[in-house]
Amino acid sequence: MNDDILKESEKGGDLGVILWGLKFAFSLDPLMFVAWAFLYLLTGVLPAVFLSMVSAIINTIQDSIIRGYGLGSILLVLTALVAVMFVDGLFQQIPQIMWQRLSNRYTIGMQRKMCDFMKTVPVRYFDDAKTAKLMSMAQKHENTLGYFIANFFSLASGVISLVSMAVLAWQTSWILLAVLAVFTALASVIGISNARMGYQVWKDQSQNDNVTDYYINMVYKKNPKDVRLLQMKDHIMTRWEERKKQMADAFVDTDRRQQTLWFFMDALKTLTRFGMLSAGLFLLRAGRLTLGGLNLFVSMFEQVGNTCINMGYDCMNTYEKCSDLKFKKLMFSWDMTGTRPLPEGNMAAPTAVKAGEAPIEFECKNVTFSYGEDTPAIKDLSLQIRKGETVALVGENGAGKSTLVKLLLGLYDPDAGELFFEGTNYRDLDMAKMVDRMGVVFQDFVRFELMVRENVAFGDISKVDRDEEIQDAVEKGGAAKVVERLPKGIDTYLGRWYEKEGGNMSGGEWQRIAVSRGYISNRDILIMDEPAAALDPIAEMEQFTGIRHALQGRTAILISHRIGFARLADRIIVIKDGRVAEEGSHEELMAQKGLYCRMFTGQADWYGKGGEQHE
Amino acid sequence: MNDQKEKRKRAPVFATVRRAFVIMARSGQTKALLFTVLWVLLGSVTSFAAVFQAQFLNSAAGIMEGREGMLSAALLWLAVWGGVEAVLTVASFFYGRVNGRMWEMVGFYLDKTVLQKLCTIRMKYFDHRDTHKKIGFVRDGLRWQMTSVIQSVTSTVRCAIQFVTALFIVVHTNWIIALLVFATAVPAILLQRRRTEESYEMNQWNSFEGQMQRYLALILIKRKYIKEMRFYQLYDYMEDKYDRSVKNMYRQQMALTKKYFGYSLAVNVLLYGAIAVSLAMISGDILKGAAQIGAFILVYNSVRNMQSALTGVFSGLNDIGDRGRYLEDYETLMGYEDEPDGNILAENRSGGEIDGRNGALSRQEDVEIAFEHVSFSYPGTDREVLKDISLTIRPGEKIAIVGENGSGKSTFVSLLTGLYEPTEGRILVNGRDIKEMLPCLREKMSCTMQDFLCYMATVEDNVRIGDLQKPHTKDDVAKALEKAGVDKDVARLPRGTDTYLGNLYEGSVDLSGGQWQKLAMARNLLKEDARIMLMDEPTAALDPMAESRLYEEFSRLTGDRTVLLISHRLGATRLADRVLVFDDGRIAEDGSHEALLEKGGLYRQMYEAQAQWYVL
Repeated sequence: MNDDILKESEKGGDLGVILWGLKFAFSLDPLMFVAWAFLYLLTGVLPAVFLSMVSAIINTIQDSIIRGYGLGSILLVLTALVAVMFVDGLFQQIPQIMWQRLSNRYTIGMQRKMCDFMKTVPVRYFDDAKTAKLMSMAQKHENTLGYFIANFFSLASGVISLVSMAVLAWQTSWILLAVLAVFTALASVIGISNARMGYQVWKDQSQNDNVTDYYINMVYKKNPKDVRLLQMKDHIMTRWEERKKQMADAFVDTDRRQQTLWFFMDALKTLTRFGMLSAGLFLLRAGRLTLGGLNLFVSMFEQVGNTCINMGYDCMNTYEKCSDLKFKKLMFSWDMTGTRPLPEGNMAAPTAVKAGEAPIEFECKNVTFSYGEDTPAIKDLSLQIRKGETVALVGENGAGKSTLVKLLLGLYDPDAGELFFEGTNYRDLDMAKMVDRMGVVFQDFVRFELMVRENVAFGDISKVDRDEEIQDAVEKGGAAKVVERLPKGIDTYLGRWYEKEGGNMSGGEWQRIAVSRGYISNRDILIMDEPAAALDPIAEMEQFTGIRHALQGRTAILISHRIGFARLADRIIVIKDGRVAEEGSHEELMAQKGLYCRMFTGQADWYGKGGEQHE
Repeated sequence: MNDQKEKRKRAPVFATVRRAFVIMARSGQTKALLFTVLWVLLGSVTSFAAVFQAQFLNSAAGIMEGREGMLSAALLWLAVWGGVEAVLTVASFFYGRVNGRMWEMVGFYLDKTVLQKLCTIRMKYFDHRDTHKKIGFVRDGLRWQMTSVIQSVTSTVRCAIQFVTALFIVVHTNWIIALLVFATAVPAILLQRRRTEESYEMNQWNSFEGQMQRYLALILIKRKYIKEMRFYQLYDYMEDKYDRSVKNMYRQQMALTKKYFGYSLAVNVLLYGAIAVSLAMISGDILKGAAQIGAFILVYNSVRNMQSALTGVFSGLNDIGDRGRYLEDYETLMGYEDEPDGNILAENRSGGEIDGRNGALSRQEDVEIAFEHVSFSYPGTDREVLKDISLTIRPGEKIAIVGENGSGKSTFVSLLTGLYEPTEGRILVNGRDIKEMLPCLREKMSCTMQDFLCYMATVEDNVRIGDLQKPHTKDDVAKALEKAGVDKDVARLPRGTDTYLGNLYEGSVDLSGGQWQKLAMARNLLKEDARIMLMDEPTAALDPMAESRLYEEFSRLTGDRTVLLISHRLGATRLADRVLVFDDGRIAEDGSHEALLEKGGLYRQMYEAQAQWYVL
């Protein structure tokens, strides 16, 4: 299906997207949507009403002068004028307030839809370049829906404003209407080309924009030390300036062309206006125009010209938001139910347990898995992990250890073969029930910039308010000292918030927090992927001693580059190129003199001599 | 966390204006400045357009009444009016052209000066909370803020001029109207001021709540988080947190809106009331014959001009005060102390002219570094991270630095490289203070920090930045890659050493942690004539085989250079001839691997903790 995804997004279907967006917006808050849209569109009529009121007053005054009436009728029209002004003021405010609510709904609504999507989308879609690209496009701009609706209705209101002006012109004089029509056509062309230029230059320069931002970020936040130690200043300035200059030139150039268009617009406006005013004098003399009507000529073209310019921008913005929405619409339309075809014929059955043997916790049967179209990360791999057993996975970088763990956690579905948890095929498994059994520490764990409490309780979110259990997990994970020095203990916010308070957490400290996550709730299965990579020797030992202690009777899978710790395990599985290369106890594997033996002695050599000397 | 609660006074208006003009002059936009002044002055003409319009309508009314000569009078006024408008149109065209270029250039100047400054200021500014916040404004759209200060200044002055001219016209017509308009505008101005103040305090974008909300939104939808989110089933928790935050912010917003809704209606009543009364008065005058019909339009336009110009002036002043803070920050940033840059390598000096400091080293010269009673605390904190450190690092020594997380190892290296200054004591390089020796010392070093730079550029650039001071051939780069053991990985990349890394460019390839680390090693090895090699955890992301390979090559790679190696892998420290054990900011033990094992202190304890796993 992947090939079709982008192709489909290239295709038009703008109308479909607009309808989809409107329908979605409507469904989130139907009543408010309709009320807002009605009021908002109505504001489009007000400029025309204004103009006609002013000319009505002028006519009334003139009438009164000629016929010698009193102030009475003038005051009446004046009151009406002020009333319209007041309504105008209200109309500026009320739809705005309604919009606050709507836009809020749209932010939440879109976020929720996105979130539902994230809950169900197969994780591997993120590894496939094509689907990943579409998803990253679709996830940009959180409030696209709000912007889209705002722009779309702004455009619609512009149209209404133009129509109302045309009605006013038609009532005054057909000549005015005819001139106005020509003027509007010209102004629209100018408006659209003006907006398109602005849109285009941003699109063209977005790459330069990203690159210059990258350098600023590097200097300002990410790597100020490297900038100094590697003496990169001149290098950075050259690279940055080269891009920035291109941007500046492009923007200046676009601005120039836009200014020229503006000038044409202004000139057109002034010429039409004064031409019409002079013509108006003759119409006036001929009695075919009132004084108020003449006054209309003064501001009508100004109004219409501005509307056309704004509509140009609205057009471009609507177009832009529409293409953003297109990705969203497409992404949401993915059919996620049938992502993996069920195998035909007999399905493999879990291995039966013989009497007297420990039951099997995890089982892989001929599992093959690849992230993309390249060589599989796991090839035809079979293994069993029994209840209460401790297994160490070792192997070089990229051998497939972490992938295997992700498969065992049910984050990915295998391309071929079957996975079983306690005899149940993963496909029929209630994930929630499995999760409730496992304490997991990921290698590339996420540093959630939230409270320590939350960071730890994410291992079992139901425990988020249980201070004692969190405290307990913190101690087991070796993070007690870390938490102690935090200003608000487990209620301290970490990450950027903590940095703002003047503190920061080192990699080792984060790692202890992440390990604590695996200990919450005393789960009977432990999976630890590099739980001590960033720790100092003493802390590392404590960590592994803690793990050894925690292992009592539990099923555990350990992964570490510190090969020595594989000895904690009952069984060591050496993974190479996605297959099980060696399997057995430490002693057995050392006797085999294979890959494990090489890796072990490789590291042991660094300790061997000194240690022997001293023993 | 409660940033939004911290009030900061508005910047004084005149100082802000002065700063703005200085920036414009410095960025070479003096001519544009002149144009701006002219444009501001032209603002007065727009008010007078209302006078011509009034005269034109008077004559037009005359035509309707059938008076003699009125048609030519009307055409005459129309010509004058049109002439003024034409001048304005042309002027605004030129102003627009100059202006657009000016903003671009001023923005460019600001961005450039800030970036340059950030490259050279002392590291301490990045750590201290207050100064870091000042630097932080770079991220809040500095350029936009800056240019809008300047724009606020011009628009304020323009509004003021428009107000004065409109006032002049209205006073001339009916002074009571002028008084009325003035009096009713006051509440509007006050209200506006209050409101901007309050919404500034809410400052949602930068508040804790606002930032948290955006962060949560990312957690919910970004790939980076999906593993944890899925596996631990955190979606409901996060979604709930996000919803509450959005709703909470919305409630605050609505409360503010509701609070001012009534007020602003009242203000509108006042403003529109003033217009109504003015128009009624002038209509009375017209009916009495004291004024002509054009006066109606004149008053209508001028009163509205006055109102909008007056509120424009005050909101402009508010704006200048608010945004002026960014100019203050800019000035503060530009005043920060730079790293010393006096002493460069003797070879890189032009014509051998050597200034008074005279401590220039040549490329081959050996370096001896001595710490004398050095203590250090990070700016704005009381905790001493290093306490009374004294030691000498002699040329050619291979030193391993070990210790617990947070014992001061990395800080020691930061001081050694001159990133920070000791709070007490001094550091000497070949007998001279490190400050005098700075850029020169760094040119003689090659460093790989723990959180090394993963540079999103080509592989070649990634290596080249290891020694930018010297031109290197492609062969040099290839050699460095080979030495670091990453040449095979690079060969597999789609465009070899020309492949872009990271995700910034189209067709970029991202490397694994281990590959990046090897690349950082290649960067370190490029500087072949470096006299000091610094490596902080150079193998943290490598697998056992790759790690062993690197350490086996160690002595060949380092040669006779001084080496400082920080590592948690104690086995590797045996490569060194001297081990420094850091404990709580002090050097607890200092000696050879064997001597320290013999001593039976902290080092032995750590060593045995790791070695026990490998005893056969």
